[in-house]
Amino acid sequence: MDVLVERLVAGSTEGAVYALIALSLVVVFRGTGTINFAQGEMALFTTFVAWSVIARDLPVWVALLVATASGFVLGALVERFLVRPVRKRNDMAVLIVLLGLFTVFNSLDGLIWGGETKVLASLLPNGPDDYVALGPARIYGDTAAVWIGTVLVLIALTVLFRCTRTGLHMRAVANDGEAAALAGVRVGRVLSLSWGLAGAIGSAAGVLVTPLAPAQLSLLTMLAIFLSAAAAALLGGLDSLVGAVVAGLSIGVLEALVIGYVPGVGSNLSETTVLVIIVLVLLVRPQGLFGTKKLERV
Amino acid sequence: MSRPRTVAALAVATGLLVTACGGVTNDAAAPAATGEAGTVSTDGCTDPDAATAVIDDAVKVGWTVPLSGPYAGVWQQITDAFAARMALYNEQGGAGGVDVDFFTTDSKLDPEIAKALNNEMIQKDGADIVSSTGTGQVATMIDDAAAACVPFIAATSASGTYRDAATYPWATLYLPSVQLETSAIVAAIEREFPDGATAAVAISPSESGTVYADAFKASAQGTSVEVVEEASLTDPNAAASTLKASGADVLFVASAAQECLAMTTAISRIGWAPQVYQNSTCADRSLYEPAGAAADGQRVFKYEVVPSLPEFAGTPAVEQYLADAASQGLADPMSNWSVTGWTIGEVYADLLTAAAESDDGLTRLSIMEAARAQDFHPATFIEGIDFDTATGGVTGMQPFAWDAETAQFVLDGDPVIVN
Repeated sequence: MDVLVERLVAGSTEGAVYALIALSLVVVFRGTGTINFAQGEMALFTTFVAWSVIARDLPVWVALLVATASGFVLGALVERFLVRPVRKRNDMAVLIVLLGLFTVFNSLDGLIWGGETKVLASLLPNGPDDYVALGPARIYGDTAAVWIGTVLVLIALTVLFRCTRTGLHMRAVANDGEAAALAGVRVGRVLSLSWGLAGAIGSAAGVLVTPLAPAQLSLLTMLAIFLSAAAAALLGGLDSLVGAVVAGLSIGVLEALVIGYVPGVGSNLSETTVLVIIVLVLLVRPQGLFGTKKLERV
Repeated sequence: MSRPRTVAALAVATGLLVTACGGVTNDAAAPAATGEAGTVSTDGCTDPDAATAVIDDAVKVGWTVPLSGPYAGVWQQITDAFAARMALYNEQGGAGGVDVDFFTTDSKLDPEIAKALNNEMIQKDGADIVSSTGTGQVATMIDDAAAACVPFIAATSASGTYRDAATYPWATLYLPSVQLETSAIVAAIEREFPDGATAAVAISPSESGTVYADAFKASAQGTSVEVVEEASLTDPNAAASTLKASGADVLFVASAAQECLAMTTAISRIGWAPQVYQNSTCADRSLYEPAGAAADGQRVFKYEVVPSLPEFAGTPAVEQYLADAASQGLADPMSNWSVTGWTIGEVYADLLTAAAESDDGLTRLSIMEAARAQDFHPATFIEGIDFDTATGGVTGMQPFAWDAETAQFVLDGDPVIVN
């Protein structure tokens, strides 16, 4: 029983990490109808920026703010100068640009900060004694920071999309950019804002999740996280905030249980097993667990 | 599905499958060019003349190593240090006046890519010596090099299989064999737990991890160390929970690089504190310091000097190493990886000099013969430990423990000379 509780807590923590990154993917998708495959590496870049700030003896919360602001600017710049020009051609061109950016940012990280593993301080204390016992499991400060961060981002985004004019404009642009423009929405500004917002969320997520990452802060930190986060966004429905969180948590817990309790399969094929389950779900619900079903009027 | 969803599904599926299926092979077929048991022969070479032709322009040394991905940082330091040592060797006259021309290709830690690049180095680039790292990569390359009679020198694999001179006369390995290391570790555990100990094993999902784990279990057989649980390091947190439940006294981590750090962090976070033994591929401070107090007291066996330790710092060998490294502009000579790259350079310098001085002159065959007969003490090896290919390479190891307070390895016993 103790082991099960430990696995559930570890799995849901991992799931919260996926959910946080998945939320940034959902923001870009809801705002622009695009999936940002460079999101993880952009977040890694700004996490290295945060590390540089902390290395100058500044507090972690300052580093978090700097990283978040950098992420916003980076996201907006990428949209304005790379994505928007090629988007006019087709979606595949955007995909290629973003996959290119994926490798560019990773290489840039290596060039600037080197390949050695670094330690990023946690926003909340995560020393050996900085935990709250949840039965046999331990909730450290960095774990709590990720959980709290996920909830706050979920609430903030829900308010943005449901209760603000900006959120309405973002949804309108994603739905039909031309129609939105005819209705007076400044499409370019909305696109940049969406990408900037996603960049900011991804960057904040990077600072929060890195202390929990097995690879700590290294060139590999975001790779596995991003793949699972993208799977979570897809499973949740790509345009659903709640879906991203539910799917992220489900994937995290599922991975932990498969690895822990399915001999043979768990040790080598946990990700494949999870992938198969996701594919099966998408076969039944192509729009994902909470995604909006797309209707076409003819 | 709409188009973005379809594209996303394809990309995510591809990514997850690549992650899930990457990098494990077990190809150990017998090589083509094998003469009398244990002797180097050009029988069966695809180009015997090339193997016996005198090398008089430059000795081309090609390595296929991971210069991108998780081990890129490690291998950049190792190759930089090796290149620096070869540059010094060239400055000092090279192999009888012949310079070493060193180049690298990026294996991306993928055995199939490594195999293709190795063949390209041999066939297109005309490499006189090739090498690589990782048991999975070595397995796919070693036969091709033997068939072409191109020496496969000082590959960094701990496998016992590929150091068998009778089957693989055209290859030598640099790392100590897993048998040597794990028997030293088991002996150390027996000393620490005289009444017997239970051990758990965390295994990296790679060929190297399996090789280390199997060797540890084999070394424990017939001793007072009982392996009671093992778990894959696919997810360090899940592995930590599984292994903790066994209540083992000792944890042996059969992994490499950042997995070592991840396991340290994972067991600390669930409040498990067994005596941890890491394997020697994890013997660098960069894999302990980030873990803070969680890594305190972890043990690891080493065979190369640690320049920063007082026990080694003032010795003539270390002073010379640091001076030579500085003369070549080596960025971080104190790093364990730099010491490793430099020491492999020592191995190359020793055998190339021997080959150049042989009756046949400097040829691929004489290089391989010199490598097979190599028995010397690299200056950056711990005193008492030698490199002797007749007995498998590294002849012994010394136990160290990590001291979190000073962020240093400290000596934890005398060298264990096995061969």
